[in-house]
Parts: sequence; structure tokens; C-alpha cells
Amino acid sequence: MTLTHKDAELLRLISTGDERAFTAFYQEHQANLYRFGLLMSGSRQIAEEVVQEAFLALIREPGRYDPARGSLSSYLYGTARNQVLRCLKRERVYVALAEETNGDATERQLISKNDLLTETARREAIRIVRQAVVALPVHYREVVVLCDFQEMTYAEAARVLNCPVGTVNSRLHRGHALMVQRLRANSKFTHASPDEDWTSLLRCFA
Amino acid sequence: MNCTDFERQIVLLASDRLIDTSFREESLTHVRLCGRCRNRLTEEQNLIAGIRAVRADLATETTPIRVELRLLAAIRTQASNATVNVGKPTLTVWQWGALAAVGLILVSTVAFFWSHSAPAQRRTSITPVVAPEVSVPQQQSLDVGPERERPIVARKKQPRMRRSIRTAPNDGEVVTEFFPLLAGDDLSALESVRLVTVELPGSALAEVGLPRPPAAETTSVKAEVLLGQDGVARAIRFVQ
Repeated sequence: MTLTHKDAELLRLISTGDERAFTAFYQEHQANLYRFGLLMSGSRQIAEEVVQEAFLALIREPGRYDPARGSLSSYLYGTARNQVLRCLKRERVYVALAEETNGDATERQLISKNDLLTETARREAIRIVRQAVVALPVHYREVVVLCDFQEMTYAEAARVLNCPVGTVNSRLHRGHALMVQRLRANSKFTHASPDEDWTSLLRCFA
Repeated sequence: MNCTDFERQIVLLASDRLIDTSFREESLTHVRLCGRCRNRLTEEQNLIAGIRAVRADLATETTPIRVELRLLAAIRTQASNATVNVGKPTLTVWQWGALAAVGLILVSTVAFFWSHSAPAQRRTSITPVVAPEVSVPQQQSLDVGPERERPIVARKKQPRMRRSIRTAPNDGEVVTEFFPLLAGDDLSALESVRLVTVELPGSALAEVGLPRPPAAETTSVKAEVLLGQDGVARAIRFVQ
């Protein structure tokens, strides 16, 4: 995740309006940013907006990126993170809905609202985990998303979040604990054996 | 190892990222002995399995194509704006401010000189003290060389007082010499003068010792009054 010569050259070309350069650059980074926005917000609409604004910022003000302060990927994630926080502040309903849900009955109600009951058991399990992520407070959620879902090292996440590595470690730990508490409400989760593969876990969900 | 130590490393242990093998062995031993930590590890491993499943599920998620199209449109717009601006250097706020300041200084300077020249102009209205019968004055300003007097010709209205040197009167006009109005006044010592065209009664000719035509009793004659830099009339000449 360091700034390569390719990235530097692409940035230069983008600033001159080179569409092919931009397309190459966009294709390299857009999916990760989209998934980051999706996991952080639980909304495709917000994730779309996050990607758009992060790249627009780079197009309009490429000079704002300072290689001395970190990699281009970290810069993009940082911009995306700021955009997510703005969107979440604007549409607080998303988080409030997830955070207010407690207990199995409410969980089922939420799933029912999202019209997920017709999905397969695997998709249902995935949805539950995603809901647990979205229900986390933002400062835990962003660490969980970056480290667990984007597979960043603690150091990389610390650069994106502009905080010490130790903070990332403790927030990740706390985030996991909160998610486990939430998933514990779904008893099937806790009774699954760690040695079982994902298919057997799905059987537990069924 | 106690439960607190185990809890600190549970995320790494559950995700198989605990590098320290001895610590790993100790953790697994603790799990065998402590039912609470065993359940906790199970829950953590289930969570990580769920996270991996979500990660795999999202692997195919990409941004809708419309976002890329919008961004490409933004790039085109930006590029076209940059093309339009080629050769038109844009000024920063500071540069605009500097330009405004220079303009203000220029305006102030002009106003200062105008206000200092205005009293001299106003003094021309006092010239009737010296030439009391001045009617419709037309102001002129010109330099007169210190060495010799130069013929000066009046001009039409001037929006601003300008200094010029005239060596001949207008075509068709005949002018007399300058007649000093103050005894012993040295006109060549004046640094700058102004010429005011006036109309005087014909009797004024006699006052300077010039022959007076019979018709001049009822008509007026055209004259040019030379004003010093202090606004005092110094000399007069007649124009025919």
C-alpha cells in the first residue's frame, strides 16, 4: 500500500485530464472503497456517494495529496472515511435503526423489514454479521472494517485513521467483543463448534 | 496465564495470527482448563468465520458504472475549463487586492493634485480685481520660457488644466505684445503662467495706451490675461 511510481504517474496524468489514466486508477481502487463505504454505512447509496466524492476530491485537488504523509491508498481511505462520517451524520437513521435493535425478536423483525427472510441461510448469516458491524459505534466500526474486512495491518489502519497503533488494537478488540455480544443474542452462533466449517455453521443458522 | 491475559490475545488467537508460539500454547492450555474462555474463543472463532463469509460475499461488489461515468464527465468538464483558461492568467485574491490598492493610490494622487490646483483655478475668478470687466473667461495653462516670452494662443474648453507651449496664435488672429499690469514686473521670471481669454470694453485699450477705434466705444474687445502661478494677473494682450 505504498505510493508506487505508477500511482504517481497516474496522478500526474489525471490532473491533466487524461481519461484513460483515470479509468485505470479508478478500477484499481474503486471496489475496495465501495466495500468500505458499504460496510461502514450499510447503504449502497452512501457507499456510491463515498466513492464518488473520494475520487472527485482527487480529480479536483490532486495537489492535496502529500506523499510524505502516507500512501495514496491511505489518502483515499481517509477521504472516504471523512465522507462516510459526513453521510452518517446526515442520515443518522441508518445507525440508529441498527443500534436500537436488541434481542432475537427485534433482530428477526429487522431482517423481516429488510425482506431477507426469503434469502438462503448463508445470506441470512451474512446479513446478521453485517448488521452487527453496522451496529458498532463508528470508532470501533471503522477499525473492524479496515482490519477485518479490508485486511489492513494495524499500522496501515492507524495511518488511515490518524491514530496510534495501540488505539487500533484496543478498538479492534473492543469492537469484536461488542459484536460477539450482539451475535450471542442469536444462540445458534454461540453453539457452533469452532471446528465446524462454514456449511455446518449454516446448518446451525437454519 | 489468566483469563485477562487470554482475553487480550483472543482476536489474534481466533484468527490464527498469534505469532508467539509459546503464548499460543499457553492460551490453548488455558482454554482446556477454563470453560468460560473456551466459550469465548468459540464465539470469537464464529465471529471471524462470519467476517470471512461476509468478505467473500462482498468480493464481487463494485461501484455502479454510473459513478465512473459521472467522474469521467467531471474530468472532461475540468479539462475543458482548463483549456478555456489557457492564456488567461487568473489572479489570486492577493493580486486583486494589490491591484485595487494601486488603483486607490492613483485615484488619491490625482485627487490630491486636483485639489491643490483647484485654488489657482478659483483665483481666476478673482482676476476681475485686476481686470474687473472680465466676462466669460476661458482658462488656459501654458509654460512660458524664462528666457523669452512666447506667443500664446487660447484654446477651447479643456477638461483638465494642461500645460503646453504655443509659438503662434490661431490662424486669422492678430495679437499685440503683452502689456505688464504691475509696474516693474518681470514676466520672464515666472515659472509657469496661465492665459485667460476675456472680453473687455473698448475703453480698456486706452488704459494701456493703445489707439481706440471709434466703434470700440460700444463693442467689446477680446483680450488674453496672463496669470502668474499665484493667480494674479500680470499682463494683458489684445486679440483681433
